[in-house]
Amino acid sequence: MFNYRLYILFLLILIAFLVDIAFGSIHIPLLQILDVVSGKQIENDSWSFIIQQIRLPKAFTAIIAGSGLAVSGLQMQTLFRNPLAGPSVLGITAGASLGVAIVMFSAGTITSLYTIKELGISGSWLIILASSAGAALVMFLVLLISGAVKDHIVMLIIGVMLGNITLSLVSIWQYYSAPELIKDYLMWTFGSLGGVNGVQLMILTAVVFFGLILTFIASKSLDALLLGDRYAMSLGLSVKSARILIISSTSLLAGGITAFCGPIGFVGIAVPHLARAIFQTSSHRVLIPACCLIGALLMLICDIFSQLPGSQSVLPINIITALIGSPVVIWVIARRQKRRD
Amino acid sequence: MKELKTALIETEGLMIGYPASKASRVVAGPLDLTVCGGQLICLLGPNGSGKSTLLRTLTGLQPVSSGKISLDGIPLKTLKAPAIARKLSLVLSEKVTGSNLDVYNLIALGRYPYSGWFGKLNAEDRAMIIRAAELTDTTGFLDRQVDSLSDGECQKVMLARAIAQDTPVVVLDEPTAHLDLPSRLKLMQLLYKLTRETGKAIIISTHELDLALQTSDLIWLMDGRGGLHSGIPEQLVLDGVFEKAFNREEIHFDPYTGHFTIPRVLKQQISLIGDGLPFIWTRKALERCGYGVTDGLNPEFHILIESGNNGIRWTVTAYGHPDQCFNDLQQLVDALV
Repeated sequence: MFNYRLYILFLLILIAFLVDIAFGSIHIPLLQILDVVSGKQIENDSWSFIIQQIRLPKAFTAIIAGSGLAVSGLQMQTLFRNPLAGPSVLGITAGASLGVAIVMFSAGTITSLYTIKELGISGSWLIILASSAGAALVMFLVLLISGAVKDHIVMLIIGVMLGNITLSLVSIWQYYSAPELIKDYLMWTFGSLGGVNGVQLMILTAVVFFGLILTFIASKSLDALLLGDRYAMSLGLSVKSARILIISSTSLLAGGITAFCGPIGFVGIAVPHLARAIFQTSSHRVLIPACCLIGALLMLICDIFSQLPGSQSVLPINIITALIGSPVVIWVIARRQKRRD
Repeated sequence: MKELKTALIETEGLMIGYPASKASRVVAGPLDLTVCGGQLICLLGPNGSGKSTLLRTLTGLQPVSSGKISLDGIPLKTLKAPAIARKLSLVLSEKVTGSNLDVYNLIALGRYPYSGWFGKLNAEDRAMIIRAAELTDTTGFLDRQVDSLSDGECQKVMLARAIAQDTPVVVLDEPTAHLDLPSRLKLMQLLYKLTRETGKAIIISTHELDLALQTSDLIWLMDGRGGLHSGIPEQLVLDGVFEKAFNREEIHFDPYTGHFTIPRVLKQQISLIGDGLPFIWTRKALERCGYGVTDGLNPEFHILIESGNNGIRWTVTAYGHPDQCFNDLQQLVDALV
């Protein structure tokens, strides 16, 4: 059962991947696209450039960002034992934004996010490091507060407020910054899967891959944490080191992706619920790969919708993820309420 | 005589208390306790006497202030968390919610200390899970979601998880706290049965004095002044330690019945003549209304109970009043009050 669902997901991802590459402001015939993807030379150089330099990196970024965000959401939901947890909900991406803003605004008047990225490897690492550190900081705060606040909804509100506080810190900084920087930062907050290519894509892939490995190492601990800290301890788990591992991998995943793609909402909170519903399990050994696949698929679909055929403009990815993700969140809250009655 | 059992837990001069931080405080001790296989041990004591602290210390969740604990012959200090988890399992009173777990997978988490790196289960693990479900009578809802269980069912499932952990000692911290009376009785009965069938030692902390007196092999009674009395229930009653531990102004431990009673200001002495159940329950009703019931005949004020074909008849004889007859206990009580 488990395998056949995985195969279907793989197939769907492949289809979505091709569709995503096929759509864009310039029409390129499907056969030509297949040729480029399979490594053949085609006559039209600009088509080949568009596919290799723009569309393929964007589709790969979608897959990486979708998997990473979904898995970071899964880990947060288990760690906080809160079905409404997710990187964008509990202020983790806001923390990452703070990290990015600090780098951007303190880099000076002339540099912008894109020029920092153009610095190459060191610049990219700087942003990822700042972003992950910001994410880890907020996550640690949320963990401290969640020890005292048991109510899921109250915790959710506190998380949103933490996010607001973090973002207003950014706003204060913005207020005293040069207009070009503000515009640059604002564009970043809309979220974008484009603009990650070459070295950055490799760095992002490495960071997310490393984060996912950490998550896999923590998968058994995550299972035990479903019962809460005291039960987990009685099963022989070192809760402290498990938490450090989970916070590290979540911050790397959410922070790294936010640094390069901007704060993308709702994928992290929605995908774990879809994974549990489709695979009917709570075992992280199954849920982690399931979240990777569903997250990648959902992100590809969002990207397809953001550049609907016939339309010349591209919608910010955040708008689409919110449109698809919010109903899932509403469904989760409604179902819990119903169960309680 | 049975052969001497080996001790699963032994403590020597154990002092329990809060960890040696700023306000290091000893709650109870020194304690010299022994737990053997097949024993059902009830830990009793008023609130704040250190029941939870003792259980946390014994299970290694809290460091020892001073003294020694050995688990299956090995000093607890030298054991790492995974090793302790193979000797000792835990059931808490808190309910596990929002986990999205079904019952089978929750019980399966009991195999955590044995399973490999990714927690994959082998045939032996699966056999243990089924056996744990059978022992706790939970096979009927293996497919259900944990969130959909009643409190009583949930505690049984958590117990099944502890059984699946396959430890010689199972510790339950107030497992009956949120249960209704029938569920409490059933759970205690189940624990008793488990000690006989599996040879496990089960330690539970509880406020259910009646149930503890009826079911446990050994009672640990913490008196709230740092002492712990260990013994079979009947011995402890005879020693009078229950009264000392629990007696307060409002309640009173009756060593004859093993119950707690609420002392009443007596209005009047009355003598009651009769037998069987009608006698017992009439006496209870009178005592509830504040009458002291005496056995000897009080010619000035007595009640005669007669059971006949037409039901029960109560005749009240009071000095200076004509005799009154009642066919209903409530009428009698209403007339006396």
